Amino acid sequence: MSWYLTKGPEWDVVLSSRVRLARNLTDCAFPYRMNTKECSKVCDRIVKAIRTSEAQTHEKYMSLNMDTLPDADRQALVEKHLISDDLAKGGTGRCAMISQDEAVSILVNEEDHIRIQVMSEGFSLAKVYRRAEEVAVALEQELPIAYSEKYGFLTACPTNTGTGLRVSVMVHLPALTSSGRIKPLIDGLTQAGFTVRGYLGEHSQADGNVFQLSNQITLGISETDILVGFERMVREVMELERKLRSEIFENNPMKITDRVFRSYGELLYARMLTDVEAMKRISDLRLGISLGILKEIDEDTMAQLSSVIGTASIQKDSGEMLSPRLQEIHRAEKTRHLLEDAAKSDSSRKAKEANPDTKTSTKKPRLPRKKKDSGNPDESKS
Amino acid sequence: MKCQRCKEREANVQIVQQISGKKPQTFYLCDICARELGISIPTFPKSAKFTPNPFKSMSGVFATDVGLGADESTLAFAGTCPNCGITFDAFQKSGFLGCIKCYEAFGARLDPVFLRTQMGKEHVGRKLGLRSTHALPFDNDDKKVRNGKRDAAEKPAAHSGEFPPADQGVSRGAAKADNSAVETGSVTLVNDPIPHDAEEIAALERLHIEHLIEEKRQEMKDAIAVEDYRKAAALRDTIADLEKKKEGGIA
Repeated sequence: MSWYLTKGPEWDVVLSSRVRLARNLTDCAFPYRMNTKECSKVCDRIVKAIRTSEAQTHEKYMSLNMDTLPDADRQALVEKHLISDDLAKGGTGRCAMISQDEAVSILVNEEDHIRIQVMSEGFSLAKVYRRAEEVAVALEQELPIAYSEKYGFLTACPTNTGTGLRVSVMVHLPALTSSGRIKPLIDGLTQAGFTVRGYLGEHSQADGNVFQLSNQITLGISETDILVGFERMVREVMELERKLRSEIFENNPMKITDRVFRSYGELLYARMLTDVEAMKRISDLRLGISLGILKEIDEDTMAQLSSVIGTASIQKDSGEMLSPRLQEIHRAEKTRHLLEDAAKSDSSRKAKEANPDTKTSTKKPRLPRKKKDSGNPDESKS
Repeated sequence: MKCQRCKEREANVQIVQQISGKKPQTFYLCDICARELGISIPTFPKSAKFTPNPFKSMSGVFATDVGLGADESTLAFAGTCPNCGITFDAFQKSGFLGCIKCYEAFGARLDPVFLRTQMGKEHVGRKLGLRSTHALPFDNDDKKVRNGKRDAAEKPAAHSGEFPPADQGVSRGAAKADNSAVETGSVTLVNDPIPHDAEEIAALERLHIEHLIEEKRQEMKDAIAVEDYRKAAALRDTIADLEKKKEGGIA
């Protein structure tokens, strides 16, 4: 199963973890300085090396050529963060190798010749780093990789030189955002050497209160120190967000509960949904789940929902180019069905188990609610 | 002389704090602590002046063009990579080098850029083709890092302290790391040494908060002027929080 369909450690704040290693070949110019013929040649060499490395790393990849892959498919991969927007638009001589579980993707001829990217649900930097290093070491033994004793791994942009390591997490920060503390936090993090971006990376908006945090420094610091410093920073952000969440909830429990259930109702009954609106409502639901307010569905459902409501995913799912209006209708339908199924399977599971569901319960006291409502959301709203 | 705040690193910043009606006070801090106290903020209140200013190169590393390498852009001679033919000018415009030989060709002028934007000009990480020998402290056990104390060993590593602490801006004081180290495998990892007992340091932090409040008040006025009441309300809450923090101290 694909990693992005389940929740991981620290799921209430950290949605996913990612590690990226940049590597280049010694014997040719950086990708943007090569013509399409040279690009294709490099691409073939690297793909061959990756295939050879499969035995050593126990990974199995499918190869996707950016030249022949339909536009909707490429955009769907971008939405799942499996490839970058730059690669998707790159054209001839660019390709991506994606592992079967979609956790490892190797981008060929993006900004650098090779970019190894490993992702995982929740907060698990060590796990993703180990897997990325495994792939990197195998390729370093297979190919002439650009490395200098002084500068380490050489990259097209000197901001990646050294370790070539970029660590990032997707974090959901609704409380920090709604309390207005996000801006000073972002300023502080930027000053401390971290980058904060919107959901889809560079230049994107933080729709649905999801932010991407990453390290900036790659030279003069070891991989371990990068990971440890980053881990520490994320934990601080995490604690801050959690503290604020419970504060906001304790100050006015009914207001938050109302917001969560309104959003739940909207997603359950809306007949048209824009992607921005869907992401906002998903953010409310996530908050509700983490506070223990919303028990009909859990974070797994949210992860699945977020992975299917992107514009490209909707297009791909329907198998044709849809007008914006049809997209919204399609998105609402998809959302509704997913939530209904999740609530149904939840109530049937509850009926089977004598004990209440322990998966989504938190330390927070549950809100007193009428028994009639739980497990049957259809009756809770008019 | 050691820094009065962390009592560990060498003090290289002298701060004279002059508050009307009080005797001027002098602090000696290291650049890292100074930065944490927000002293690098250019609009620091006039009441506190700081001389000399050798840490500008440190504080500006990520944000400004003032730094050790500030003059690399003004170097007059044109450089060209003999391998790919890209000029240093072109690199400066695009931010991309042409080929790996550019690193040799522009080396002398890249170093200042690295000093400004990175943590040094030399690679200290994993070597080509080798597996990293470093054990990650949070391998299989997240709690280990969360409670750094549990594995504490009093042995600070040389360069870990240089890593900019994350608790800046508003997050400061929310989660203080303790002065402990986690030793695992061949590397020693240190949590930020931030003891905060000295009264004068607390006063300095209060001053920083006052400055922040001042700044936020101005922002709030501006927001009201353009009738952005949502922003103004958010700022009002931020100010209230800061006021609380100021009264409660940064303990």
